[in-house]
Amino acid sequence: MSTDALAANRVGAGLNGRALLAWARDYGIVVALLALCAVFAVITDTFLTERNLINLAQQSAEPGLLAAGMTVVIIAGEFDLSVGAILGFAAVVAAFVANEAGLVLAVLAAVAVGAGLGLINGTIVTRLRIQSFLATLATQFVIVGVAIYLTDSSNSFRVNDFLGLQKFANSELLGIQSKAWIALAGFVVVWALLRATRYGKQVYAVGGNEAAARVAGVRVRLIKASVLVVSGVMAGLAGAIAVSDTGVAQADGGLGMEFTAIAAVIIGGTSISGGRGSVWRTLAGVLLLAVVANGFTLVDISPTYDQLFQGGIILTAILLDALLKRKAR
Amino acid sequence: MNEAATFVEARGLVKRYGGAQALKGVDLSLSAGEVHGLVGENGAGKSTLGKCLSGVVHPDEGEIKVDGVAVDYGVPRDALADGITIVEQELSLVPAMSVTDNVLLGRRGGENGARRRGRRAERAEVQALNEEFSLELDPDATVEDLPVAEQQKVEILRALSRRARLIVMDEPTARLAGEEAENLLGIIRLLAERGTTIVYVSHFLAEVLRVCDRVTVMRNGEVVKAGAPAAQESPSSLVTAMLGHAAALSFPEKRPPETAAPTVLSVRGLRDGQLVSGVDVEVRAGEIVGLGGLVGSGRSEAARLIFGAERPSAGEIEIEGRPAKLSSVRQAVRRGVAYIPESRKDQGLFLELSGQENTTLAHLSRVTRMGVLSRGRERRETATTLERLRVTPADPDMRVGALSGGNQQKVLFGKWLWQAPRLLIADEPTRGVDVGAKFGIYELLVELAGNGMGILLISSEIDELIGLSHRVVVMARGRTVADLGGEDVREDRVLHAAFGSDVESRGAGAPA
Amino acid sequence: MGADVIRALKPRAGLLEFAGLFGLLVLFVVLSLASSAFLSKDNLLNVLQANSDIGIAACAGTLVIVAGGIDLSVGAIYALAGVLSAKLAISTGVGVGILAGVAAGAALGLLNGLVVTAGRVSPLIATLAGAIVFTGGAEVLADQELLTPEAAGFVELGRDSLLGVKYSVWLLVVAAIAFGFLLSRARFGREVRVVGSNQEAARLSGVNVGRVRCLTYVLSGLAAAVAGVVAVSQAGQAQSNIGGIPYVLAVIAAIAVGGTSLRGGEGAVWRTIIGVLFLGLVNNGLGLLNVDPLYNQFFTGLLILIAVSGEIYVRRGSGRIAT
Repeated sequence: MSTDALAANRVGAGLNGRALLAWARDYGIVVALLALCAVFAVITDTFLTERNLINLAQQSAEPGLLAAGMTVVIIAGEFDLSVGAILGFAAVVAAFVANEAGLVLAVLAAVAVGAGLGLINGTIVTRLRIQSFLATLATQFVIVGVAIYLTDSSNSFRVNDFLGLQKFANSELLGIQSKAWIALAGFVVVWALLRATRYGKQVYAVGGNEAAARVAGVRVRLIKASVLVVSGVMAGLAGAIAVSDTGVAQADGGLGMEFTAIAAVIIGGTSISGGRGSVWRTLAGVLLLAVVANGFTLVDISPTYDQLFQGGIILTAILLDALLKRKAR
Repeated sequence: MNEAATFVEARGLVKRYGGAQALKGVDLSLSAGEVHGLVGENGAGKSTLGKCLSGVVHPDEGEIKVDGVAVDYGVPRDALADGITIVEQELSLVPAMSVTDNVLLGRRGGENGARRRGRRAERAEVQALNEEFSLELDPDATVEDLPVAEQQKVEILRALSRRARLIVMDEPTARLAGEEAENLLGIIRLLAERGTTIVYVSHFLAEVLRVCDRVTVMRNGEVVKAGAPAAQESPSSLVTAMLGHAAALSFPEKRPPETAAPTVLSVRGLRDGQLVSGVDVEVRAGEIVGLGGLVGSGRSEAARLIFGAERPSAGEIEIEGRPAKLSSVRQAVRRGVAYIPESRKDQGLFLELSGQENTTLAHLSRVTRMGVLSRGRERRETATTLERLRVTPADPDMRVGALSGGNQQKVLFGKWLWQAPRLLIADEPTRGVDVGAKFGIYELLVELAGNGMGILLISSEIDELIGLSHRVVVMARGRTVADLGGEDVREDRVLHAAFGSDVESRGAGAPA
Repeated sequence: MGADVIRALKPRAGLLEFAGLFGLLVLFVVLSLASSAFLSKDNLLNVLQANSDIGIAACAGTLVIVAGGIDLSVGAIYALAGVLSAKLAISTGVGVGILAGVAAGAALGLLNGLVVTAGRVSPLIATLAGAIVFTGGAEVLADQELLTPEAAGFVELGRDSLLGVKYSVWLLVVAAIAFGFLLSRARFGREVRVVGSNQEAARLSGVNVGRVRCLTYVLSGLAAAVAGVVAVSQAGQAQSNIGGIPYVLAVIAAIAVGGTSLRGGEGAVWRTIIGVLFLGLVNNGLGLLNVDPLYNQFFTGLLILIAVSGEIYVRRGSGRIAT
């Protein structure tokens, strides 16, 4: 946009209409979420029960962690399609370590593995200069392959002391299982990382204008690699939760979750081009997807229609967001 | 200015890009607290030299010494550590972040390291600098909401917050209006007085001589005049050094249009609901009508509206007497309107594609038969067009991005002249074009008009506007305020109309 | 300046551009040496046939990517078209089934295109959402069943041959030639390239950017549908989870390995064919060497990384992209 128009926009900016639209753009996702909750609360009598809502929160733990990590990656202007694969890999490693060395080391191993794989992703993107979309698409294949190898081609790995391991994900605090709290903690950590640290500012800068960040002295390559490590860590943590939850580690158990994570980030309103957004938005996105899935189960529409309706809602959300963005310009 | 010690010294700098040598062994010597001008045609190497000094680009040979110590900057960050920074034409700001965040971006050190010092402390620091140098910026404003002139100040503020000792400024006033440019020059002198060295790279020679202590002239990657005291130079002496021969900055003789010439373009009451609020313009065949005005007056917007690139909210446009459907570029092109946009890189050319692909795009139907392109015919037509415009090299297969600025502009012309339009809208046709090629474009424009084409010309250089136009329509705040012809086509009349009062200024039509 | 500058700046049509082809030949030779079963007519035709569905969609997908977009919904369209054609083949007739499936693909592609152009939604998000919706559609149509149109005779298309080569392979050849010609020689192809190279400049040159982009999605949907219909015909059965994410990733991988940049503005269908063949040969080779099929993914991923980084290295050397 030329400066003439920019100047005019500042000078003659409309007041109420534009402000309202801007607010809708910013908080529309929250409104949509609340509206959906209201709808389901009315239609069914089981939605708004404590049991159901707690269930909802717990089921959102794994996708939530993936989405939180993905938020950082997308704000930096990159993609990570390998998080589902990392989840499975970390779960397998955790199971293995749990059998040998117990709960604590298992969780640490999962997180470390996630970080390590994220680092590999980061190295490929920054040293080999392959676009993150393509690079993580490829590493997804590789990671799943290695995970399968680790399970001796059986694709799954059973944990011996399930009850012991279960404590990680299923201990209850205030009636809600720990996995939900862990996920919440994950969101808080990411939030703090993005908002309260210099590092966070640099992530936004790299996503907003990479060249500018570089000239300003930001270590762009380091930032790019590090955001992939962050999402790897989140995926590793999710993997630990997965195996702790079920007692079985599935090498390919996380495949497909990466797209759900991306969807949650986008629906939340974080821009796909990077440089803007926040993790609370992603939280709203995750909850929206969970509410939709949960609501449909409760309303007991034949499962065949599940995906179609879910997709329809997502599509509507996206179109509305695009529409609002256009009007607000 | 006192005899200060040499602060930065460069010797024998060589830089190659592929097979071409941008710098062929350049020496430069800078003292602390001086404003040092760097001038030369496009391709002379001044930008590259500035980039070498600031670490954006790494020289292949030669050495740079800062305070007598040899340095080797691999990345801009290293130069920053020594207090050397650059403010480039392409602004390096993060659009969605605030002024404060942009200014403090990438800063190392500070007591807390990873943790930020808290918004208030940061804001206070930025505000302090802001006031010290009278920049009048709002620390909380989001950068993308600011006009270009303000954005540039953010970059300068950033340099200052790093305690920069040397700031290279590449064409800093290229996008500033008269007052803003004056402001900037004032800031530069203030900085110099405080001991900051400024390397001032610019095409605007009069300005360079006003603000600089010494001037270095470059030609073809070499220094032809090193550190000459500005007081002893004049714009023509600089041009002479640049070209290697004296060149008069003159314009081809204007030939008035025929008295019975038909009206090619007629615009009435054009508005777009934003900036443009009432534009009336008429262009006759064979006439060059200049569109003058300050930055922010809406000239480029009006041009885009006429071309159908944007949708108007009201107004009538007639092309050759018949109404034109608004907001359709295809319709405009079909009716014989051509548009050379302000930014050829962003809006006009496809740098990765060949000359051929660029030239024929607007009228592909001419080289298409039943949906299939006739490549042979395309090549021939392109070769002819490129040769006619003296593009060097006139190779249809060459990647346009590899051509010099002047040649690129000619390809852009070629694209629109290939099928002779009735009306040519040219927005800053000589931007980023060196002196030699500029005159070629002037001659071309006059020749086109002489052959009956109507031309609507937007230009930031008032001399150019007046030198070429038969009539000048002046815009201010989105509407046409004056229609000057004949004797009235003069700098003072244009400026008077543009400002709305009698003000002496640098130029009315500064680039948008 | 002069001659040396000119030579340096001219687009390198030299050896480097054909690095992909070279890699393919190397792989071919390696496999011929590694396995005696490789170099047989049956095996090679098998490779072509097994990858024809990916190849068909990848050819059309190349246009989408060169135009600067991306289509993540091809897997879902594949499934929906396959299921639809099977259902209609059973209930109405084979011909109707095939036509409906293909038409549905084009229609869904059009939907994608409209969301991207008129809706101004980023292609990534639009086609991702589309994928979710279309998969949902496939599920609704399949209604939890495994459809078996085999009984209705819906297998000629997938299983019969012409001159010893399966129809699906012929379709791949047709697709490669048609889309290749479209991209390199037709006016539409030129418009696709400029739109992907600089959308705003294309608009200001009078190109109907919206229509061009939309059309690429229609073609992509059409191709994915054809692939799905043929696959169902070949298998003799259809269910809603065919195609899907693995299919999308394979198509994109093939295009990328072939050398087309995912950023748009440049690329070629012949390159994509090389990518398809490369990945297909890898899979085939692994099978012949008796590697557990579970590890296919691993090797595929590894090779994608090697191939793409090789290409990037080559492109940097020829000066086409910034270092």
